[in-house]
Amino acid sequence: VAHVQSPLLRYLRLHIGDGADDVASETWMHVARRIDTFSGNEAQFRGWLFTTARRRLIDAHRRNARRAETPVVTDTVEVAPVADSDPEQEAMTAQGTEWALATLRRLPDDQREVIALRVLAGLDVSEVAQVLELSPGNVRVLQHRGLRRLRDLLATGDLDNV
Amino acid sequence: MYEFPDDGELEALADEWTINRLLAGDLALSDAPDGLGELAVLVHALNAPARPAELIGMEEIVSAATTVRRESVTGRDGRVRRRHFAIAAALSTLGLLVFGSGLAAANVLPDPAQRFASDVLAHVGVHVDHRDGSPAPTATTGKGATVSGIARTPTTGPGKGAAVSGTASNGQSRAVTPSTTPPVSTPPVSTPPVSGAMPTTAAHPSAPTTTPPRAQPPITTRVPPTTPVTTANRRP
Repeated sequence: VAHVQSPLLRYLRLHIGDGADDVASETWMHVARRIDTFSGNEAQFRGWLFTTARRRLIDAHRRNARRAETPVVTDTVEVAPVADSDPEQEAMTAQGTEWALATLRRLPDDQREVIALRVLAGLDVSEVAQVLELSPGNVRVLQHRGLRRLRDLLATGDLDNV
Repeated sequence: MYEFPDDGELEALADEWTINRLLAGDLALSDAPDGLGELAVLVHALNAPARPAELIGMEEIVSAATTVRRESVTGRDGRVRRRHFAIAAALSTLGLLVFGSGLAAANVLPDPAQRFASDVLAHVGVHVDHRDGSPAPTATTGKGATVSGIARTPTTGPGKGAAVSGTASNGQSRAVTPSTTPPVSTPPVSTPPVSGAMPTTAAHPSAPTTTPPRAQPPITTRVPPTTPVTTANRRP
């Protein structure tokens, strides 16, 4: 559980911000109840887990919509300067993850979802296609566009202009 | 399924193998092609080891998930156990009905059981007699009723038994009749029916060996083979 909790939390924080902990708990409770219905390897379990998390996210967004509360994601983390002498070391600092999440939030929803599932969930193209109910070709296109946009964002270092 | 059009914007960033390594976090910065170095940094940041703050509450989550899991399993097992109990109860009832009906029809149950079985089976259309001579609930018509009527007459003696036997067997019985077989020298002792007592062959020492039939229970299905009249009649 622990080794997938961190990616799961980051994936949820990417979408819902502060409510990620609650949605993660709901996700694990659902998994605990339905574990008998699952069969597969670890990669398939991750796909199932993140599929469950996506559904819990949708439920959470609906609850928030009913409460007329817009999930506020505050990007208070400064964008890491790409031109630094050791960008990898910069990225690995305590704020590195938050910086990466803030960067991903600048992507359109569909591209962000594909990149997040590929990177955070560790799913391959076909598994992402199953989770998102898209064709593998569509996933590749979204992935390519997302990477291109991310590359442009990081190259300019100005995420606000995207 | 919707297919994205090839809009010509998708010049290759790298080959697919490199992209897969990049997204999996396996592409080192030193190996990254031009333009992918920043992306590699981003991916490494996303896949950075879990921070302690991210694992706060994991114990509570695992504990709650374990509880939910246990409750789920217990609830399911409870439902399964209840279902099995219901099936076992139904099969037991069915077996008791079939087996008990056989015993009741054979008239070999103890009196209370026989009476109970007779009453219960009467509700499902199976008619068996009470051992103590009380009439079966529906033995009011047909040959059974006729035989029962003969058996209930106040007269006693071999003649009554012969009449019962003859009626029940449509005249094929070889039961003793007063006109063909002389009565036994010792006058028969009429024993009143004993309610709730099992029939026994242990007679009083002073009693004759051929005890005349007691007031037999109304016979609608069979004649007990051990009735003295029939036994005596079969002797050569």
